[in-house]
Amino acid sequence: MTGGGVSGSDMPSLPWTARRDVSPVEDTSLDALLAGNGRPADAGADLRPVADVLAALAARPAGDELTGLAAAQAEFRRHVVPPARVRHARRRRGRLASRLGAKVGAAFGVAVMGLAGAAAAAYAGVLPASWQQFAHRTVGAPAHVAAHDTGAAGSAARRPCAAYQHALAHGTASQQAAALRNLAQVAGGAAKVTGWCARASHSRHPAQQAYPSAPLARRGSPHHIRPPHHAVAPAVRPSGSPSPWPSAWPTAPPSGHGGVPPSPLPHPTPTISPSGPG
Amino acid sequence: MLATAQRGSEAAFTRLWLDANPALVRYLRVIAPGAADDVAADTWVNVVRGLRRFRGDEAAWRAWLFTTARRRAIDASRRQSRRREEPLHEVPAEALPVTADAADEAMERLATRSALALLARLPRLQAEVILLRVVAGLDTDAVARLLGRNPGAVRVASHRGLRRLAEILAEAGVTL
Repeated sequence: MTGGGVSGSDMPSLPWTARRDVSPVEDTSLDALLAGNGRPADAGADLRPVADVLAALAARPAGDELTGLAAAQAEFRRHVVPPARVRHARRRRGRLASRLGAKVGAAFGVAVMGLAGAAAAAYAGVLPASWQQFAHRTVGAPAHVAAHDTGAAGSAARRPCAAYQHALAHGTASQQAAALRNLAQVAGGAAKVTGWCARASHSRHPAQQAYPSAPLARRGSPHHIRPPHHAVAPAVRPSGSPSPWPSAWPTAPPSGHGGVPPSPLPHPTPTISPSGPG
Repeated sequence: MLATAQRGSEAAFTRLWLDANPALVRYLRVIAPGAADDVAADTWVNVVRGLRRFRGDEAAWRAWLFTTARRRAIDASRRQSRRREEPLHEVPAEALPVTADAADEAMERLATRSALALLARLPRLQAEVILLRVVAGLDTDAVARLLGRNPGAVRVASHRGLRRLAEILAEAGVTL
């Protein structure tokens, strides 16, 4: 029992007892220690051990306190650095794509130009035999006329004429222009085209009228050419519409050839009146 | 340095880490004994993931780092308690970070670990306040916000902790 009549077991059990040898410490001194302003040498005797403890708490890092840097850096690279790299990679991919696109576009343009040129050449009939046949099968260009059929000179002479006629029937305006240009070049000038093609048609073999394997023009069209079934069949069925040929074009095959069918080149005026109702 | 790290500089981030991690580990060795390294790694994962979104100066960032560490330490403590199904007071004394001869070690050499062991003998709030003030370098207001207390209570707790530390050292006969 204490003097106050309170049982000793009822007294609060403090975890430590106040030591009389520890002098009271000013709050300002404690604040200075916490702020790191108090050094052990400057602290009072009572606080000097505490200051040493605080200095040890803030000592230089030990080796085991620096482990884990690699993992943190990896995490940093994964979450902080990657967006920039991704953007960079995207920019690179974009540049690469644009470069590739430009290259592909250029290659495509060259290919288109090449094909267009090849098509023009095919319609002009100036390709080598195998190529001309291929163009004939694929794009409807004039067929190659074998040299042994009509003679090399005749074939070579007729080819531009036939090409121009075919272009007129099936080709576009540019193809027609290309064929005419080629024809004029072969004939020695635009003014000589008519005579040149007339002479070329005269040298044709009777069995090789027009374009033996060339696709026929649409029936009823101004350029429709009847296929030569036999020598006496009329070659041209006039449609009654104006001819597309230039005015300087030969009018008709020369007479006196008997069974030789006339030239496929149409006349400026129909030689046979169309039969029709009325 | 912080802004540079936020822009993606790994060198700047490394500087920040080297500056902050030792203090972080020392803090966690007291408030999360036995799991300090794991909690520190977990803390850095969280901090790195939020680094680009963080707004504030380096003092605020440091406060954020220790706030994150404290939350992760609490999470780790809960996981540990669920796993072991063992109340804290039943943890054997040898498993606690406080060594029996912590004061003796402090007399021989006030190494950092000994100082941490001494601090671990303080009540949790006092030890935490001192660690956050001295080790983390946070001011009273920042510590108050971190602990969810008012600055006056933080100041009182820190003073009581230092006085108690002085008594422990005096009991151990450390009278320099």
